[in-house]
Amino acid sequence: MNGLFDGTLVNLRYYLVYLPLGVLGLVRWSCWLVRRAPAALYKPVQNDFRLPMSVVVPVYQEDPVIFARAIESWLANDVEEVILVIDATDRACQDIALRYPVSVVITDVPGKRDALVRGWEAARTDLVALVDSDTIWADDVAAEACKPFADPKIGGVGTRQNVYNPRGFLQRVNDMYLDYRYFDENAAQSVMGRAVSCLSGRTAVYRRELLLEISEDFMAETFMGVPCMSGDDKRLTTLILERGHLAFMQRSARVWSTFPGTLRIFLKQRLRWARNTWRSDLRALSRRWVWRHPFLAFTLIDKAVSSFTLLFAPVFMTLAVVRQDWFFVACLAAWWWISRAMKILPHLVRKPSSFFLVPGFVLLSFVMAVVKLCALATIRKQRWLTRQVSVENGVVVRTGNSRPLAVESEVGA
Amino acid sequence: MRHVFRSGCMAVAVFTALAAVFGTASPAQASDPAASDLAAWQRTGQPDRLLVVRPGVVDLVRHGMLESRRISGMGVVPLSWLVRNTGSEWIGRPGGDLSVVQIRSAVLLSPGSGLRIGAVTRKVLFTAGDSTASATWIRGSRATLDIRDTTLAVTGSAGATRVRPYISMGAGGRLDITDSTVSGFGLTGRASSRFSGVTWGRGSTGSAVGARFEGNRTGLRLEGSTGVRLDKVTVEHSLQDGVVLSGDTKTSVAGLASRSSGRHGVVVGGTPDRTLSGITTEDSAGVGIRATPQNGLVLDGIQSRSDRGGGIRLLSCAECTVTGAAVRGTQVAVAVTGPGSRAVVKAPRLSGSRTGISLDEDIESATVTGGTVSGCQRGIAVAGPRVTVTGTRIESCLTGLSVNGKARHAALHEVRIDDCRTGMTTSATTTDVSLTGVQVTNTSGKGLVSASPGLRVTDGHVSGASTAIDLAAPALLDKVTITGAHRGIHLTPGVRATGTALDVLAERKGIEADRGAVIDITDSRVRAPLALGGAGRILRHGRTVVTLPPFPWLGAAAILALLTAIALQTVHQVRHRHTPRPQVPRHVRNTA
Repeated sequence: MNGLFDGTLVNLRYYLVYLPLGVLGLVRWSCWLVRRAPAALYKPVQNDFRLPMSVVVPVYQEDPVIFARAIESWLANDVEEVILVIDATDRACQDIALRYPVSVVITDVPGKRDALVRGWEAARTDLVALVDSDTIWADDVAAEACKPFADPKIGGVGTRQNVYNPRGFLQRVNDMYLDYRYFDENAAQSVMGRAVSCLSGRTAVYRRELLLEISEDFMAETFMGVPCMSGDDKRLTTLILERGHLAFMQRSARVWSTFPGTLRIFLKQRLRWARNTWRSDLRALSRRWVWRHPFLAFTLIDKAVSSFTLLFAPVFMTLAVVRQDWFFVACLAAWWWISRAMKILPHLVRKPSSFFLVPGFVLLSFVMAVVKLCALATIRKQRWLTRQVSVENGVVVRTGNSRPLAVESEVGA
Repeated sequence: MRHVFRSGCMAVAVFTALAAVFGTASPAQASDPAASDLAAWQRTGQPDRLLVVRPGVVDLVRHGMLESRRISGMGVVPLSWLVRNTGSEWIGRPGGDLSVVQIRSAVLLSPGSGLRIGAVTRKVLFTAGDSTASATWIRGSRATLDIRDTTLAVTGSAGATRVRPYISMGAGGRLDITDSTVSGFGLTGRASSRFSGVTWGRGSTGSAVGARFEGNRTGLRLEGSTGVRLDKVTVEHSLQDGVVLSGDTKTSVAGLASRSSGRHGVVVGGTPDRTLSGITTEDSAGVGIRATPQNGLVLDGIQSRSDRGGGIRLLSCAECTVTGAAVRGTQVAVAVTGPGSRAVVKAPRLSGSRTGISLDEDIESATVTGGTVSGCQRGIAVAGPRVTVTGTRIESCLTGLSVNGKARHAALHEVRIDDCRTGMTTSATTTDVSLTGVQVTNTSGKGLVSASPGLRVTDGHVSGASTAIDLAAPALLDKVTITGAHRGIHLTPGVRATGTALDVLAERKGIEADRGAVIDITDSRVRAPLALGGAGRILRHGRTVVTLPPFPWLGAAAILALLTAIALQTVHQVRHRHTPRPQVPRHVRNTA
């Protein structure tokens, strides 16, 4: 029986193993090329257009040094005002804010969304940049981010991000992920319809009038009956696109942000992002507006499918190892290395030494695929995971020991 | 008158038999114990001191003279009684230790007598002699010797010239060794094999249970014994063979281990139609198990590890069967040799040997069925006639299967050869070799190399070789499939071959015929970049198809995809070649 089995499979192995994997790889590569080709043609908008801009920053438990450097970088740009919405419990950041010419709003309402709304309501300019408190700007971010707004259809503009002084494997990998995103997915979406799926919350610039218009929907977001706490950036982008405006990524506006260096926090952050992405993408794909942006719809579907297909390769690899088919194992491993290196060429041109991190990057991709599936399975859970807040009984609450202090408002510098 | 004569003869015969059975001494000896002792002394090599144990009596004989007589009143004498009643010059307790006894004389157990060693005595030291006369030993016939829970060892001056003790039980006797150790026994040199350690002689019986035999000349020897039981027996560091089973009958073996023998681990011979199982051999200088000429031997579940001279060797063994043998780390794992050999090897598990199974030229016939041979220089070497190999798997050998010497009428069915350097070779001296359903996969060299005239290959499959089939002699190929080879079939100059229903898929050349070679292919398919080549003739008949191999679309697509990625990156680089670096605070370093 065994001989018959082996004898039959020796001819069919090509059709049972190599062919499906090859066809799957071909399909995945084709999808990537569909994104990569327009991405290669991307160019940031160049003009002299300028509008006044406010910087709104929700602040909670930020590293003091990074926070100070970030404030300095925002002030180095030509912005009208910097509004810091600081959590009432965070005395350290309040003290730092006092050293700079910024506006401070103290809030005792936990959660980033409420802080953002308070910030843009307090702003007085046409454009509002929503910025994370650990994000450091280049000197020309405000000027560069204004340029796409010359087109009145543009409702929001994103920036290009990188990891602030990356050290260690995980931060380097995060840098690779970011380059992949801004040279591939976001660039392609900007070229093909100017509908970026997510203007990252680390720095995104919106027209203030639109923000005021969507405030209520933004705060009232629920998914399957549970109020949403995180995923504010995807929600804002979606609301802008849903209302017929466009979202563009201006790659010449560069910012840097800190990223976790430990695997535990890295995985938690990824799990939170994956849940947000599933919620936002599934909801978007169920609405009509997304089909007005076919390329955006394609990328959303492609991303959802890849969460599953990505795991086929390690399954085939495991089977090959069990069968001790070392030639196949070597070929597949080499293909992983080379093909993934090709896909992150923009990053490798910038940092050639990352070529040696590609195997680790590939393995981490498989872990990320599992994380995405876990996120899909737990899509209703609402926890920040890296901060001490969560949604309990439909309300955003603090989960740690921090308690609110007396509320102060409009404490100017 | 004739009737009376017959009756008289019968009466004499019955009397003689009864006398033999009941150990009755002759009237002369019975009346003269000194004469009897003298005869025993002369018969046993004239030892300096001889204790003659008789039923109820023990004689102390010095230099052939009866020195004194002790009345035991017992049929079976405990060793402790001899210690108390003979004196330390004969048997004593060194240093007054009650658990140790030192034997300084030879002990002869006469018919009807018995000796019991053990219980109180934990260690029995036999004094090594300076000469044969001063040696110590225990011998007997029609007597019993029961050794239990004790250690038998040698004491005395060390050296090559010392004469070591031994135990030998002769006809009608019984020797039982239970939970005991016997070490350093056995006469060396040209002494009789009966005195090579512990011997159950012709017609004796008994057992060895939980016993260890260490450093004996021969660990233990069953020579013509009957019904001896060997259970959980360990034999180690024997100077010569570990265990010798010669002419013994009704021996039962369960858990017999022979380690580090100076010659063979176990030697079996002289008994027809017997089955041995539960034997393990290890680190022998010779062969693990050596079967000398005999009929109907069955070796079941034998294990051999690192026996330097070979695992199992069947010498002129007719109708012998080796089943489920596990052999590794030796020269020849299983060897069948010698005129008249007719052997069957079933389901062997052989690994890490120079040759897995060797079937020599002078055998009569042999059959190998099932099993695995792996990690050998040669998996199976067939040199003898009428060999059949069926369903055996050969893995990771330099040469999987070799048919050479005087092999004729060799039939290989459903043999699978994987991951070898060369799959199979047949030499020019062999004839009538047929392969049916043979699979050769992943060979780094040639799959099948044949110089055997008249080779027939039916339903074969060869994949992953430099040359799948290399023919240097006429051959008939029928329904042979070749995949993944650099070259499918190669014919050396002048060879004529025939192929029917061949399916050849090669990476470079399909069929290559050298000058003067001719191959007729019928209803076949040959796919290769160079399907047919060489200076010879390749004649196509029937619905034979010759094409290029299928284009590797997936590989081409993969390369195209990679090139596209590089092209797109180049486009990107060109379009952004003037992009300046951002103006950033000095503490930001990741700005490229």
